[in-house]
Amino acid sequence: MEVEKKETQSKETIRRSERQAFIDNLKFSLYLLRKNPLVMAGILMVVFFVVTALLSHVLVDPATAGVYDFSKNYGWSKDAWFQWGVQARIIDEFHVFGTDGWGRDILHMMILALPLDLSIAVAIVSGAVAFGVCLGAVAGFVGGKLDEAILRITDIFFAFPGLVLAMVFAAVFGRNMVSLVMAVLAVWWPVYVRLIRGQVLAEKERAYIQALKAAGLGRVRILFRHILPNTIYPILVQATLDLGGVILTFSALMFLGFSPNPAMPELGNLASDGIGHFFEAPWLIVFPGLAILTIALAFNLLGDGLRDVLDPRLRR
Amino acid sequence: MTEREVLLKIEDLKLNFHTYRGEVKALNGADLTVYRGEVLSLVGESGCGKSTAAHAILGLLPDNAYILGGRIIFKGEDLLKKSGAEIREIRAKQIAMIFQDPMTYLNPVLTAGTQLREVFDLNEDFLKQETILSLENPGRKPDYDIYLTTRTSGETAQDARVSKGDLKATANRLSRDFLTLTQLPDPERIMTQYPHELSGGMRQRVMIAMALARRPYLLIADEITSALDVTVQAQILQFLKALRDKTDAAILFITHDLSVAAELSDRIAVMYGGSVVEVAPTAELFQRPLHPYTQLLQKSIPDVRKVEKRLDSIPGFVPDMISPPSGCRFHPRCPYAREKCHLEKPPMIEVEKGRFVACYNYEVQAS
Repeated sequence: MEVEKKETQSKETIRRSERQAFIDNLKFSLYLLRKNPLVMAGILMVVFFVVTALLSHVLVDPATAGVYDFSKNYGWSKDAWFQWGVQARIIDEFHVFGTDGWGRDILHMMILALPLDLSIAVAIVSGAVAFGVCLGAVAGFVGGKLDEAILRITDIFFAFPGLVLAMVFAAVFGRNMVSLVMAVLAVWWPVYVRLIRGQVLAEKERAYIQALKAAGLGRVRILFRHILPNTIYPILVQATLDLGGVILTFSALMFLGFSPNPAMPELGNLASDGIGHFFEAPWLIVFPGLAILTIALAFNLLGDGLRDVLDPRLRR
Repeated sequence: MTEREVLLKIEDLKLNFHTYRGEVKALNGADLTVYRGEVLSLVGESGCGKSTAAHAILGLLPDNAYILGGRIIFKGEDLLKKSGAEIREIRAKQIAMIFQDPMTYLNPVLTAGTQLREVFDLNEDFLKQETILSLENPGRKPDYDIYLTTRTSGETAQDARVSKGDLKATANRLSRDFLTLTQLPDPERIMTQYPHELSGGMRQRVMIAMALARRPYLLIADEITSALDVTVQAQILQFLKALRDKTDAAILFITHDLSVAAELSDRIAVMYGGSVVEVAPTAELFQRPLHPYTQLLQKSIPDVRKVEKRLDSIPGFVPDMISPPSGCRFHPRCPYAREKCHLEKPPMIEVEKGRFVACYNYEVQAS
């Protein structure tokens, strides 16, 4: 009885101390972040964008914001073409960022564009990281001919300018969202292959890998359970930085006219609406462009500070 | 002395490292026998092939190492002929190794607890068996007899269905017990800590706990005290001494320090220039060393009871392993070297029961 009671008591204390340790850990992470004001600014901006994206359909009702039904195909009628320039101005009511040629509020459209842009960025980057990291880690760990083969393929992708290659893919695979995402993904993964391969090459020579081998661990387990957690921090930082870059590239594709639907609320697409009206209606291109810039900046600032927080070797 | 069961037998192991400067003849026909349950120290100066021999046992040699000949027989099977999967199985369950520098031999980004629990992932039989035992009788006390000596195959436990949560709880409990076994204070806290938060001695104890948790037949300790400071070194030795009586695992203790070896071992094997030159029970080796190298080595140990101006040292240099001396590799430094020593490597002969020496000076006595 006594013993049992003691046991439950000690278990309780352990649980409490574990919770305490977790809270302390969190506090320490916050402290590390607070030390660098730029990183803090980046975090605030990212949080702002993500929250806005999550709340977008509450803030703006897509039905009344003049968003067209995407399932329909829109043609450019002669009348619409004629009306374009006429309506592209601030009309009867006040709109903070103005309206576009269809009379849609630019601010509303930008808010509606955020969830699309962010989720596309996350999808592309996570896909590229998963693919690139697997390939690069195996290349670095196995070495030899496989390494050579993977690197040469990577080099081929590196040889072309990313945007141009993405445009080729987009043009070949057709004009829809999936093929656009695949096009950007296809040019994005080689960076991670190179990055993780170098990391794995350095890490696999470390002494503890030998201890793991001596403990009878298989190669797969050593690579994915021990080497990857040690090498993933630079990748996470790179991926965070790339979230901004991917939005830039994707918007650029849209801007260049690969948009599957001219009415789609996507930042690059919105900006491309204003391409011919820069002088009479600069707000069409300036505000969506600024939004793209700010998002890219936010993720860059965040990425800079992330490493200090994540890596247990650096956080002491 | 009764005939003991041979656990590990290295026979005439020859091994080269291929380097740019030439072939490094690291092992030159090394012979070694480890009996079940004993503590055998392997002593020798740096570069004499002690660690290479240990790594060869576990198949952990670097890519540029070539085994030219010989056999490593563990429990009647040649380890050199084993496939990768078989040798992994042996590493996980039968032979454990503790490394020299605890600073670098733990994964820096996983907690000590995570790394300890992984041992049980590879030893599922043991884990399942323990889980069943603890489910049958809750509030079970750690039973170190079972942990350290009984090695059931665990076949009975193999088919048993146990929930993942139970297995996890058992792995946690076992990790804690093994840390307690290595005399670490507050094992719960240590399990949640990263290696860089632990001191050198603590890390070494975690490494020992990880090795013991595998319940090996043979525990290879490769210079485990060299990287620690003297007080911690003494604590670890003290612990190993106590462990020696508790476990029935054989310990192959590799060190360059004769006095550490004397403290711990049942028998001592002295290595020089890539081969074992003398094997003897500890006390006898110190009372009456047979090989000239051992004799000179012993003279160079300082004695606190005597006032000595200058310590004796062995004349000459450590042999160059790329172009080693012909015949007996010790002959350039040996005061008793004869012509025969230049020409042929002396074979290992049993001078008395349990005393082996590789030196031509004892040929007559043996025959």
